[in-house]
Order: sequence, then C-alpha cells, then structure tokens
Amino acid sequence: MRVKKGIPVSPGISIANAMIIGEEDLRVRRRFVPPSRVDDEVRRFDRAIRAAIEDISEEISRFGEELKIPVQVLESHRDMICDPTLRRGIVDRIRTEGNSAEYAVTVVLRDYYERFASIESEYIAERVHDLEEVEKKILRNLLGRTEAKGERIRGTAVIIAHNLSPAQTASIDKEKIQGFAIDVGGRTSHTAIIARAMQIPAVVGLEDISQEVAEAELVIVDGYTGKVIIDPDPATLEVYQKKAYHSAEFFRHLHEEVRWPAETLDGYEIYLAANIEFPEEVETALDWGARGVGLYRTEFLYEDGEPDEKKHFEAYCMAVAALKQRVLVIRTLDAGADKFHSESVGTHEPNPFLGCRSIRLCLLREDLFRSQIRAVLRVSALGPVKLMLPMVSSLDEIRRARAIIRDVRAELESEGVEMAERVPVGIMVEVPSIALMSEQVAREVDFFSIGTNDLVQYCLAVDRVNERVAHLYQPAHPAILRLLKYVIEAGHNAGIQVSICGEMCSEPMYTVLLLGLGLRSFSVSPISLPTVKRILRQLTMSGAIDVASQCLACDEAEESQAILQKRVRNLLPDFF
Amino acid sequence: MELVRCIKLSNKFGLHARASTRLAQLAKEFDSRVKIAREGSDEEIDGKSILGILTLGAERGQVLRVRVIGEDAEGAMKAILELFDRKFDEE
Repeated sequence: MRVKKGIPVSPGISIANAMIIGEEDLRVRRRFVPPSRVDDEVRRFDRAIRAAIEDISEEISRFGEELKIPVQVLESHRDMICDPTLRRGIVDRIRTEGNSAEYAVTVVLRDYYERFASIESEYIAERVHDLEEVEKKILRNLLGRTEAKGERIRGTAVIIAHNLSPAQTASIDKEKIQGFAIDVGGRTSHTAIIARAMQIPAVVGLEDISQEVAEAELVIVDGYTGKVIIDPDPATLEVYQKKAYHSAEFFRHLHEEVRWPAETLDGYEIYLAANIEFPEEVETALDWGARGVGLYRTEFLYEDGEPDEKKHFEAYCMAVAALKQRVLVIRTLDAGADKFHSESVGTHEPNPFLGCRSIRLCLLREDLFRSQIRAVLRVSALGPVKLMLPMVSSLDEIRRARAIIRDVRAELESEGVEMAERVPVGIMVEVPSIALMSEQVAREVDFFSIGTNDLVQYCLAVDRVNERVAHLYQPAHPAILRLLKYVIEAGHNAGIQVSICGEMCSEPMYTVLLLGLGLRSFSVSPISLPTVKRILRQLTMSGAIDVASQCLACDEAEESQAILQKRVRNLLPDFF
Repeated sequence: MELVRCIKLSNKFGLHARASTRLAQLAKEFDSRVKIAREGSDEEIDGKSILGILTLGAERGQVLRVRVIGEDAEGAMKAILELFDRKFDEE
C-alpha cells in the first residue's frame, strides 16, 4: 500500500482500477514524397481531415449539452480544421515542396502559431492552444494514432494522468469514470472545474502519481482529504468502502434537497451564495442552489501578468450573464506582489502576509486598480454587481479607494458609458484593526463580509499551515467570538448587510455558531452549498443563539470547542 | 462585380472565435471572394477562413475594409453588413 497526498478539488470517495492516460508523442520528421506519390499524399491528408472532423463530432455528441464551454471549444476546433485557407496552404506545400502530409501540417501551422503570437491581444495569443489541439487532431489521424480516451475502459476506472487536455476531459465517459488523480494543477485547473461540475472525486497536484501507479492497479481517491491510496491493504479498503457508501448516500440526498429553501426549523430564511473563481462556475453554483455570488475572487485574471480592462470586463460579463440578474460581489485584487512577474510591482517581501498586498498594492499601483474598477462599473449596466475591497486595515484606505472609484465613475460618465446608478462598495473584514473599528466603518461602507480564515490567523497570530502552531488555530477562541459578535452587531446597528465568506461556515459546528452570533448571509464554495443548507434546515434559530451565548461565556477555546461539539452533535446527529 | 466597404466593429468582444466563425460561415455561403483587411493595411485575408480572420486580431472599434468580388457580390456584402450591424448576434 502506498499513500500520496495532493490537493482535493472535488469531494467524494472513489475506489476503482487505475487507467493511465499518457502524454502523446506526435513529433514529426522532415519527410518528402516523390512527385508520383503527391496525389496520394493529398488524398491521405483529406482523409485525415475528414476523420478529425468526425472525431470532434463524436466528442461533441458524447459530451452532451451539459457543459457548454467545452462544446464551444470543440466546435471552434472543428471550424479551424475545415478552414479552406488552411487546407490550401497544406496542399500547396505537399504539391510544390513535396512535403509529406504530416510535415506540411506542422510547417503551415507553425506559421499560424507565429502570426497568432505576434498579435497584441491576449485573447488571440491564447488561441495558440486551440491550434495545438487542431494540429494534434490532424496528426493523430495521419499517424494512425488514437487519443487515449475513456472508451478504452472496461468497467469503471480512476483516471491517472500527468495532465489532461480539455478534449481529453471532454471525451470522458461520465458513467465509467470514478475519479481523477492528476500530477499537476490546483483548485482552478481545468480538470478540477470539470470534475466538480461532473461531481466526480478528484485530487490534483500529486506531482508524480502518473509514474507511481501501474495500469489497472486498485486506487482510492479521497476527494475530501486529498489522499490517494494505491494498492490498499484489506483493512484500509474496508474503511474506505464504508466511507464511499456514506458519501454517495449523502450526495444523493443532498441533490434532492437543492431546491428546498435555506430555512431554519423555526422559519428564518438565510441568504446562501457561492464563492467562485471562474465565471464558468456560476452555473454549477446555481445548480447547487446558490442565490447569487457572494465572493468572486479575481486573482485568476492576474495569472499571466497584469490584465487589461478588457480581460476583466469579459470575465465579469460572462459571470453577470450566467447569473441572470442575481447579485455578483466582485472582490478586487487580493494578492501580493508575488503574483506579478513585472519589475514594476514585484519585489521580494520577507513576510508577504503582512506586506504590500491586496488593497495596499491597489492604492500603490492605482493604474492596476483603476482598470479593474472601470470594468466593474461598466459591467454594472448589465446586472447587479457589488464591489468588495479586501484586506482593509484603516478607514483612510476605504476613503482613498472610494475616492478613486468616484473618480473612475466620473471618467466613465464623461465618456458616455452606461453604468448602474449605484454600485454598492463593501469591505472584507479580515484584519483585526478594521474589525475593531466596525462601528465607524459601518457608516462609510455598504456591506461587511467577514473573511474568517484571515481574521482568525491575524487575530491569533497563527499560521495554520505551520504544523508546530496549527493547534493554536482555534476559530472558537473567545477573542474571535467577541470580535465576530462586535462586527456583526455594529453592521446590523448601522443597517448594513453582514455576511461571511469562507469555508468556516460549511463546517457544521461553526455554521451553528455563526448563525447564533447573528449572521443571516453565508457564502461558500458551490459544492458546500447543499451541506450548509442541510445544516440550516435542521436547526432552530433559538437553539443556535443558545449555543453561541454559551460559547461566548467561556474564557478558554477548549471549553467553547467542547460545548460546540457536544451541542452540535445533539442538534445535528446526521453529520457525525 | 467588386464592392468595397469600410465597417467599424461595434460588438463587445471584437472578432473573437465565435464572431470569426459566424463571419467565415456567412462568407462561405456566397460564391464571391471575400477579402478583409485592417483599415490602412494592404494585408488582406480570406474572409472564408476563420484562422485568417483571427489573425486580423480585430478588437472592438477597429475599422475593417471588406472587399467582395464576384457575381453575387451585392448579396454577400449586404449579408456581411447585416451581420456586423447585428453585432454577430452576441448581445
């Protein structure tokens, strides 16, 4: 038995035999054909094109209507393969230079790569990946290879790969795939998103799983903890078989509950929204019962360096369109200088968590901030959006940010750009200094969103990733409870919305506590939505308030933790 | 017959994948040759080629010169202008 640890990106447990999808070798040698064979070569090329088109049509029909984005990607590949200019270019090379079809394909496409790469549009430059797919699809047919696909599977399987292309993921037969275990990637990688959408357990970032597992070996994928167990011993297997059964049952029930209201037993309705990283996730979030997006993390847009206004705008447009007039809360850049490769911002910081990040970076690099604000204000014409400022630590920062937002609005007005009349501006409450100023701050912002992870970490001065102090990371610490209570009350007294975004609210114990402390609005990852709803539906508000006040009376974290555990176990027997 | 028109791109995203596909598909419906260039450039691409259209890298606000040559040039130009007017049915 071997155990590997990666990043869990889609929950659930799967136990099945491994199917390894390898990297393809499609290198092409420089080869020529004699003039007498040229006509045959052209015919061979045309056959490959037709076969490639058929491959795509088949992928599209297999993928179904469920996930719209990949189908569009596949359709654009088909249109590119059908492109008459492309064919003409390749056939010309075969006829005039005597190139083999394979070689002609790579030469002509290389020319397109260069032309695409030279265009000053990030969007077009990214289409290079589409060209690569197109090239592979044609070459595969010329070389007589088939792409490793789900259809090879007999029975069910866990997919093991170094990385999966969108087409490979798209071609997977949902019925047969039980799980994913992938070498590379993170929460936001393509496979992670698809796995979540398909509700298949997945672990990524395993580094070398594709080298560690042999074809058909038995593998357990634990999408909750990120563990992948290869060739489990009988005792481990038994434990996981039970877990898998419970997990499947749990999900089946949750699914039935998605359309029920998020309401406590005594009739208090709670606003449940989703945290997302990609506009593509909106649909999944709505499927899982979200009433809006409570936190749209925009850092991914900065992945390849500084995004321009257009890149921001396009992503926001997509999210707003998918939300169909439900509220979208866009959080401005929440990252440190380490996100940028450019010299202008990037300097090494010895302690980045206390460094120049988020709103601090935005106020330093006003140009960066302005292009994001412009995009947010522009998109406000299309649907309800709110702006959220992260890592605020003083009123001065809020005032300066709001002045910039006002200025950007005036600028857009003078350009005749349409905007919503009002775009609410709120802050993340995650730095203790601003939490302690809640009363004053509540008069100057439109909403609070409590970021529990950072608030706990900054307040208790504990890095929870550091094993030696992780036990000191105690969300039920009396100091945290007092602070939360103060922030929530200050917000409510000023008549502004107070919500919470963070995974803390999807842990049953803390859901009860947060509800009892007065929160009526939660935002969690889409996949956690049904769990939170289920918890809420089994609680009474009075019970939650009672638990919270008992915890508030404690003077030690261990004590409040013990009360929580005992009370919550009684309130929610299903969850333990 | 040969017709030439300059058209400003006013759809939200410019000539991106979907808009390019629509334009190429439309151009293919006609026998006439369709040539497109950025305003002020001599480098024409084939309007029936999605790859060619993408290499224009045309974003919102870009002015394009569209040249249509052939028997059904009039109909082709009319259809292309309409597609631009409808903003490629994006909105």
